Parts: sequence; structure tokens; C-alpha cells
Amino acid sequence: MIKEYYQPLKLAEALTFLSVFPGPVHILAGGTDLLVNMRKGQIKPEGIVDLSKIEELKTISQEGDNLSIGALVTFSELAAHPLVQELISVLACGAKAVGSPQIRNRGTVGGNIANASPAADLVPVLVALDGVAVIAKQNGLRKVPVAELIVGPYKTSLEPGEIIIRIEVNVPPKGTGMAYKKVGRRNALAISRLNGVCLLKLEDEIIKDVSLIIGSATPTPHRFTDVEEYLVGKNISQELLEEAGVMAREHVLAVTGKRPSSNYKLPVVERLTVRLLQVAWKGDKAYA
Amino acid sequence: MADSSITRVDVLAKALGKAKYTDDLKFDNMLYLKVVRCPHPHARVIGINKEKALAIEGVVAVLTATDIPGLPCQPKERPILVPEIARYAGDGVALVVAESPKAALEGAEAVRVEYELLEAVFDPEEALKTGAPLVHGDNNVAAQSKVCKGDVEAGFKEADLILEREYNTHRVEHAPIEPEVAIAVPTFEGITVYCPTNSPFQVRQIVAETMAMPQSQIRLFQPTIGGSFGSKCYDAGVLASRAALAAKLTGRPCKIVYTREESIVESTKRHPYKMKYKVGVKKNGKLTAMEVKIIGDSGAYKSKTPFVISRSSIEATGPYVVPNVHTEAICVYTNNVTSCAMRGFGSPQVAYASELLMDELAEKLGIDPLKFRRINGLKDNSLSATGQVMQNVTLDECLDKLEQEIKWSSRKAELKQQDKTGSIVKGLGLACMYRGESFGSAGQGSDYAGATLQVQRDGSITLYSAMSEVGQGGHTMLVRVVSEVLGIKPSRIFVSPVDTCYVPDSGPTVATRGTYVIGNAIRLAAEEVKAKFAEVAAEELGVRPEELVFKDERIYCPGDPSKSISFSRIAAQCYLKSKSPYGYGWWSPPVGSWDREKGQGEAYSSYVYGACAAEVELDLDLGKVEVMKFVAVHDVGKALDKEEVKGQIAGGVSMGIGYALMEDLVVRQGVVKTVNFDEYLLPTSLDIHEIIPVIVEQPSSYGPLGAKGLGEPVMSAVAPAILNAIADALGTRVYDLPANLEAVLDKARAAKGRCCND
Amino acid sequence: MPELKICFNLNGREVTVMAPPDMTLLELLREKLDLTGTKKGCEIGECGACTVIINKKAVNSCMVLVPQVEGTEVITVEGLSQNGELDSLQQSFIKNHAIQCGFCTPGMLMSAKALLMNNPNPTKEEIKEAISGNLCRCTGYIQIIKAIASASK
Ligand SMILES: Cc1cc2nc3c(=O)[nH]c(=O)nc-3n(C[C@H](O)[C@H](O)[C@H](O)COP(=O)(O)OP(=O)(O)OC[C@H]3O[C@@H](n4cnc5c(N)ncnc54)[C@H](O)[C@@H]3O)c2cc1C
Ligand code: FES
Ligand code: FES
Repeated sequence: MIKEYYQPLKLAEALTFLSVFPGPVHILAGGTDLLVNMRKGQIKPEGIVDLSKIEELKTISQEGDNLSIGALVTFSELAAHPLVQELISVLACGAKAVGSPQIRNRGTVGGNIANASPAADLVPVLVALDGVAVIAKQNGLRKVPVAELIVGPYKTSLEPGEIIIRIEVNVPPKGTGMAYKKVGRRNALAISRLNGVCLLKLEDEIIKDVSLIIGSATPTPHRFTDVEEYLVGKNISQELLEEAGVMAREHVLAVTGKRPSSNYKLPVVERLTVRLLQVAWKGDKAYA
Repeated sequence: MADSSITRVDVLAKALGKAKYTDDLKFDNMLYLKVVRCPHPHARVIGINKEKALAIEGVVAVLTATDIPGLPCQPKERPILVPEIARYAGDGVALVVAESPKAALEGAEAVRVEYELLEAVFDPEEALKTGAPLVHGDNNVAAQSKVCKGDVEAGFKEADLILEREYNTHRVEHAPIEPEVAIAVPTFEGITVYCPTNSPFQVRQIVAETMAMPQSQIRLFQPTIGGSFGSKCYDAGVLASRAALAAKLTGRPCKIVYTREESIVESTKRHPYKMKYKVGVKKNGKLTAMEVKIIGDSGAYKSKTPFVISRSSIEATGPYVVPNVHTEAICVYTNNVTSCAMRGFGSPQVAYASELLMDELAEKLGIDPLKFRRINGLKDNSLSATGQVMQNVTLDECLDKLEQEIKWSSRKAELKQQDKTGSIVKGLGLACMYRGESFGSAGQGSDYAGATLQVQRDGSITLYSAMSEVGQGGHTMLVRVVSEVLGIKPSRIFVSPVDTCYVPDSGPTVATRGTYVIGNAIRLAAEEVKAKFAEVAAEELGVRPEELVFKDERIYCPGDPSKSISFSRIAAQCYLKSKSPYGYGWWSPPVGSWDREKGQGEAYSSYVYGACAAEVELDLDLGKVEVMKFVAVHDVGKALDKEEVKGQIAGGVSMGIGYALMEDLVVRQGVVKTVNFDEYLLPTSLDIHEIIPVIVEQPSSYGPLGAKGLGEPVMSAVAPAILNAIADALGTRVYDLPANLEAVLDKARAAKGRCCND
Repeated sequence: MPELKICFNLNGREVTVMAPPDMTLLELLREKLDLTGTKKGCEIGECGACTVIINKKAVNSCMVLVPQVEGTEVITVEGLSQNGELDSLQQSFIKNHAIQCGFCTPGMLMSAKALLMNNPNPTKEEIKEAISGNLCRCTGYIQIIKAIASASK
């Protein structure tokens, strides 16, 4: 039973409310996870803070090497934003992979992180870009890498009273190859069986920098640093990518152990890795 | 000839959002119901404690089986409320009646039911073993059906090649977007029930039996229906009866509306089949014998299982000449959710198996698969598996059109040349189908329809029939027939909503019988009006009735244009002269002889044919299949409205794509796991690529204006065409449905020589 | 909690309603405002039957709590036709046989309308994308896509 529904226009008001409300209180952004969970009876909020009218949380701006994305930015807004399309198109790909137009018009970037589903489609992109969540509380701010904020399936280290206000991601250097792929059972409204993102910076065919994540394969999304380290400094070649595929697969097996879904997922992790790298390398549309 | 595109009579209200579906109706003082369901697959109800529920504010009553004045159900059928034994995890045990949906829900959560758990059985083969837990009777056999022709052993001896294969099809959900709902309103005379069902008279009968009331006192009114595909028959009867029970006991209108989860957990599904085929063929491609064993899962109750299985056994060979046939089909009770009628009604499963089989035989013999179908396909005067002499067979025409449309040979050749070293490969596959129209002699029940026309004083017409408009354009079809026979504008004709108080009992709108049976009844009714009007007009014009023609709103003598009078004038004249302006038609299809023991005889009086081809694109890395192009050729008799026909075909193709690739009603230990549309996956607009419907018109000698039924045949050949295309791309076969990511990846890897576990 | 007072623009008219905060926009429309054109098929954002337009964007009304529409402009299927004139999409749906059982139709129309409001000349791919959150079990989508394309011309 909801006792209090609060719809502030300012972040500060939201933070104050959170700090004083006694019962279980939930933050409402786009509602696309919260309403589903309320309907299932999985959560029974007594208080709701509706952030949807707080304009200051809906901006996208460039700050030096960073792009700052307000937590209340919807997937549709993110995908359509000129700065995103120009600087980090892979963010748009991740956003467009979500659900349906209706869901993308409501669901927010902050909600995707806070919900912490292992199958989230945008979160892996944010992690691949070393995204940092800026979190506000009644008496201050803290910054936590998105990868650390998510501590388990549907678990974050957010504390009561905290609100994610924005995410800061690195703008990759010019010439960085990017790739994103979602594998679902259908082409819209699909929960990812797997998804993946790759950023690749080459200099004279030598891998200078690479960021690789296969999502929905492990309990929490994280960069596959073992694979990345192996690749950096090497001359790019098809054989190398194949090796990376095998390593990514070993990586997932090491994290999850053998599961019923492994029969499908492990071989696909391997091929997905190779393909993401190929696309990031050559812009190979066939595999995009 | 027919104006090929008249506007459908039901769509304006739908486009405006003004069509009233049952859940859109409200009545003063209405109460809301919620069902308490047994969560166990097999259990005895020991006690039901209502106290806590009754204490909740707004809860008016908690009803159980003991409150039912009549029968909870017929033997082996699903009860309105379980009297003692719940047979699947979803059986209704109690009914909470409350002032609001919320109170009803809280009430349902507060009802405490004590169960004694009984041993359950989930696998049909297990259920047949002696000592298996019994769901019904003493052997769990729900129904059996046989077709025996010739001598299969002799046939196998003649064969150059014998192939044995097993195919499994899965359980799927009808998933109309409108969930089940019913409202019952008590009246002084009886009960009025508002319910979207395509079997209004069956639903009325179930309500009457539940309430121990005469059928005539139950008035069933059918609001706009949001799709059915076979689901809104018995399921609707259960809801309607629950609403009627509560309405009668409380004296207030009662609404029961299911959430999607309740709908999926409780409602009936398509039968899953395990099919074992053994087939013999000569080097020249001629089939010599076929032995088929089918075991189907009927789930917890009987429902339409006997009819589904009999159709399957009749159609098990596919539309081919097989001299020696032995088919045995059996359906078995288990503690799974109940199987019942679903679009195709026993055809899609066997079409799936037989078409995969034909493809593989062709491949093994090195014969082009399309040619192989021609070699064996039914032709006029061929003997079917049931020994029937087939007439008006249009399989070859369908194959001709298919061949042209998809450019079969050249496309096949092109695909042969494709580079198969990469991750994306393409394949082309086909499948044929045939299907008996309506119920048939093999006994899906008696088959009849009545329909009435009343011409009003002003020449407008009211049409009464039990045709359920489930979205297929059934009402428009009737209007078209009447308009054609009487030579008047469709806009003159008003189709009465289905109301069992007024419309003649015509059985259900299922089995592709709407056009065929009800269409004929309305044709007869229109002809009766025509004859009566001709008499009156002849008198007015001073000619003989036989000389008159009905056209363009007029009745006239072609020989003498001055002898002409308007249709509406004659309508007025009828009333003036006290002549009947009514027409009544009653029609039943010809019934052939049928030997139930052997499954031999004239199974159906007419058949429809079709041929489909799918071109697929496979991503070998991901196991993902896209159906890039689907050509569906169907003999529709006479396309009364080509665009409508194409819409029906496209709808069937999309349902078939779902069946082939992604839909999967997962049940574990009797508990349904995929309870809403996030897990039960229907194809979206992005999963459907090109669909090309192609129409073959071979006018039926029985259908009204030559039209044949279409709703169900369009499902049958879709999944096998897709699976055959997948096989063409992969060079290896998936035998079981669905061909989902996992199944396809597994085969793709095996084909590349990589084991699934490495 | 007592009901909240919410003001918004509905189909061109300013309305003020009292509603409990946990009520969805779908329930408000159907139960309180008698606008039953908007349909309920799943209540979890998957079927699109409940699609309405809020501030020019298609959304699932089952995924919106009533207080969230405060100050917005909402259009439902009932607001499509103006002064008895059918919207060109409605005409086109009828003409192109895009309606069978009709249960998905209101939601489809609203997704299509939102598309055309923001992109008057969409490509076929954009049309398919725009209705990818609206399930139709009857038509196979082909004629719906055609109807939207011909309305946009
Ligand atoms: C039909 C459907 C399809 C979907 N498809 C996809 C998909 O394909 N891919 C995908 O990734 N997701 C999908 N989702 C899930 C969902 O849309 C996303 O996770 C979305 O990002 C959630 O955002 P929201 O704003 O709607 O969150 P809400 O539902 O408002 O909130 C979700 C959770 O996060 C908390 N929260 C929200 N914002 C903040 C904040 N700023 N600070 C702190 N806590 C916060 C809330 O308290 C709540 O616990 C789908 C959902 C539905 C209903
Ligand atoms: S009812 Fe809202 S999306 Fe299905
Ligand atoms: S027309 Fe029936 S669901 Fe679309």
C-alpha cells in the first residue's frame, strides 16, 4: 500500500524526502522495471519518489574527454542525441537494442543500471566505456564505476537514500572501432540470450587499446581484461581474433562453471567475440 | 461478379476504438471474481477454509463445487470448480466474489486450501504403462484412432528404401491478444452471459448444465471477439459458468476477467505429439507403404481430443498416394495442462512430420523435393489413405504456382552456388498440405447450420446467424453471399450480433466450417427470400417468376427492361400483401460412409490444398533463423475478397513462424513456466519479413459461391517448409520443434564436425 | 494513501482526475474515464495493446502510473478522429485490410500515429520498427505495414 507518492521538481527535494521517509521507499524513473515488479508483488513500496519531472537529470553534455549522461535520459533520447551519434555511436546501438519503441521511450539509463539485470542491454556498453556513476545523497556525492556498482544479479551497492544522477563515460579517441550485438530469440522485445560490445583502437595494425564485454553471460557485466591484455600490443589478424574468441569462452566458463545454458552460450560467446572484434576492426556490416 | 473489395462490416467500430469487447462492458452493481487454483498437478482437496477471505473488506462470497446447482462437468471434462480431485496445476478450486477486482484478488490469496498430494504423471508414454498414476479411468487412454489400408508389410517388401524417423512437436498457446473474460447478468427469466466465444451454443450448454437450468433460459450474447484460434470454446464455457454461478447466487452482475498469466496457466493448448514414421519408397520415387504411430498428450481432460486425433490419423500421410497405410494414433491423459482445439486442429503436427519425411526421402533418392511431391501427390481419382476417391484435387495447381512464384529451380541452383564457408547461409524448402473441410464423416460431431434473413419494410435486411466474427471476416462473408444472391448493396444488410435468443444453433465457428456450412445456410435463406420476392414481383410486373433477375437493387425481366421494380418496393409490397419477408436456410454437408474400425471411407466431403516455400537465412554462429521470404499458395475455392484472403494467409504464416522457431509453452513437472508474453514469445513485426500469399481458385462444388474455408489450412505447411529450408541450408536436419537458437546451433555445430560439448 | 489530484491534457481537453497513486494510466482510462478503446493484453509492457501517446511519444499505458502524466498531453485512440472525420491512419487501416479481430488495432494506430508525428515519411523499415512493440496475432503485420505506409504518403 503506497502511503506517500512524491514528485519533486528538484533533485535536492528528492534527496531530502529519501532521507526522512520511514518505510520502504522506491525510486521511480521510467517505471519499466518497477511497475512489472510491483505487479508481480515482488516489491510493495510504501513510498515512491518519482524522478520523472526532474529536468536537471535529463541532460546529455560533453565535458572534456567525458560525455555526461543524465540518469533520467531515456533510451530513445540517448539513441537520438547528436553527441552520442557523433562521438560514441555504440551507445546508441545499445539503447536501440532495448525492448520496443514504447519501452525505449520510458526506460532510463539510470534505471538500467539500478535494476542490475545480468541481461541488461545498455549496461555492458557503459561498462565497456569505463562509465562512472555519479551518485547523490542528502549530504554529498560519490562516484563509482558502473562495473563496481553492480555487485550481483539484480544487486547494486546503492544505499538507501542514494540516487544515481548521471553517468560519465570516456569518449573514445577518434578512429576507435566500435561494435555492438544483441542475440535474442526474436528481433524485438527480447531478453538478451547474450550481448556484447567491443571498442578497438589500432595503430598501424597494432592493437593499442581494446575493451571487450560479453553480457548476459556472467552474473555481472565486466570487461574481459584477460582477453584484452592478451590482445593489446599484438598485430591484428584473423587468427588472433580466433584466439581471443577461445579465451573469452574460457573466461566465461571460469566465471560461471558449467551450466545447462552453457551448451548454447559458450560456443556463441566465442563466435560473438570474434565477430565483435571483426566489426570493430573492419566495420564489417555483415556481422553487425 | 462479386465486388472484390467491400468494406468489412466490423472494422469501422474497431478502427475508432468503439467496438465493445466484453471487458469494455460495465453493469451497475457489478461484482468481480477471482479463481483460486490448485498449484499442484494432481491433488485431492481435503478442505477449504474461507474464513480469512470472507473477513476481507469487499469480499462477498467464496464459492466452491458444493455451490454448483447442476453438474461441475461432464465425465472426464474440466470442472467449473473441482469437486474433489484437481488434475493439473491450474484447476479451479474456489471462486472469490468481491466488490472490486482488488478485493477479489486479496480474497483469493487468503483462501486456504488443504490438499493431499497425489502421484502425478507428465509423460504420455509413462502414463500408458501399467502401474502409472491414473488421471482418468483405468488406463489413461483419452482417445484412439486408426487408418488401415492395404498391407504395409507387403508394401515395405516392395520398397527400395525404407526410412524410419521420429518427430516431436511441442505445446503451444493460442495467445489471442484478448484474454478470456465473461460477464453474467441475472435477469428475472434466467441469466444473460456476455462472453467472447466462437462456440456460443456449446458455452450455453455448459452454463445450463452447471446451473441445472434449461438452455433456453440462458442467453448467451457475443460481444466483439479479440481473436480465438480455437481457444475460446471450452475455456469460455468454464468462465461463463463461473460468472453465471456467482451471478445466480448473489443476484448481481458478475465479471470474470483473466490476467495473461491466468490465461496461460489455465487455458487449453495445442496437443504435443510424438510421431514415429516408417516409410517405404521405390527408386523411381513412388511411395509403397507408410506406418505411423502417434502418441499425443491430451493433458488433464478430454476436451476435443478424440476429434483432433482422428483428423491427425486421417491426414497423417500428407496429400500423397500411399498404397499401403497403417496409422495408429493415441492420446493419453497426463497431469499437464489440457490440450484442445487450436487453429489447424491436428493437421499441423502430422503435416510437419510427413513433409519433413517427404523432403528427406527426396534427398536420399536424389530427386528434387518439388518433383518428388508431384510424383506422389494426390490427383483426381487418386485413392487417399482412407480409400476415398479424391476429386477436385488442386495440389498440382498449387505446386505450379509455387514453382513460378519462387522460381524454384533457378533459386535452388543459385543457392547451391552460395559460399557456405561464412557464418550466414541460406536455404530453400517447401511443404504441401491438404485438409478435410469441416467436421467430416469421421465424426467431429454432427454438422449443420441454420441462418435467417428478415427483410424489413424499407428493404433493409437483418441477418441472423451463429457465425462468430473472430476477426476472420465471417460476417462480411455472409453479407457478401446475401448481397450476391439478392443483387443488393452490402450496406443494406445488418448482421445481428450473435445472441442465442435469436440466432439458430449452428454449432461452433471452428474447423474451417464457417464459410462452408454457415455460408451455405445463409445462401439457402437468401434463395428463399429470392423465391418469395420473385413471386410478388412477378405478380406486380405481370411476368413469370422464373423470368426475373435480381441485380443492382432491382428485380427485372432481362427481355423487357420496362418490367422492372426496386427491391425495396417489393419489400414494402410483401408487408402490404401479408406475404412472408423471411428466409430461412438449414444446411448440412453430405456425409460419406465411414468405417471406424479400419479408418476407411469418405473422411470428408471436400478438401483444400496448399503448397508453401520458405527461404531462410541462418546465422550459424548464433543458431538464429530468419524467414526472409515465405510464399504460401492456397486453393481457396473462390476468393470472395482477395485482400481479406491474403490477410488470413499472412496471419497463418506468422503463427506458423512462431510455431516453427520461437513459441514454446514450457511445462515442468506439470507447472507452466512461460506465463506471460515476456517468456511466451510471439513473432513481432521485425520477425516477419516477406510473405507472399498466392491464391488458387478452383471453385468448390459445396461452398457458397464456390468459396472454401481458409482459416485453418494456412497454418499447416508453414513450420515444415521452414524446417526443410533450414535443412537445406545446414545439410542436416532438426526433427523436433521448435527450431530455436539452441536446436539450430547444435545442428550447425554438428554439421561442422564440432560436438556440442567441446 | 488518499487519492491524488492529477491534471493533464487528454485528447485535446484539460482534465482533472482523482486517482490512487498506484493506479496505472491504463486502468484510469478504462475504469475511471470510460475510454475503453485502449486495450489490456498483458500488463507488463509486452503486447502494446495499451499503447497511447504521451507528449508525442508512444508508450505502454500499463507501464505508467497516473501521477506521471501530470502536466502532459495524452492521446488515446478515441482522440484520433477529429470532428467525426477519421484520421488518415484509421482510413488506411480499413482500406488496407489491416484489421482482423481488432484487439491490437488501437495500440497499433497509436504507435503508427506517434511515428508519423515525428517522421511523416517513414521507410518500411522504420514502420516495422515503430510497431515492433505491438503484437498482432491475426494479420502477420503485412497489411498493417502497408496501411501505415499508404497513410504516410
Ligand atoms: C517489455 C519490456 C521490455 C524490456 N526490454 C529490455 C531490453 O531489451 N533490454 C534491457 O536492458 N532492459 C529491458 N527492459 C527493462 C527496463 O526497461 C530497463 O531495465 C530500464 O532501463 C529500466 O529503467 P526505468 O527508468 O524504467 O526504471 P524503473 O522501473 O523506474 O526503475 C528500476 C529500478 O531502478 C531504480 N532506479 C531507477 N532510477 C534510479 C536512479 N536514478 N537512481 C537510483 N535508483 C534508480 C528503481 O528504484 C527501481 O528499483 C524491458 C522492460 C520491459 C517492461
Ligand atoms: S497491456 Fe500494456 S503492453 Fe500489454
Ligand atoms: S487484428 Fe487481432 S491481434 Fe491484431
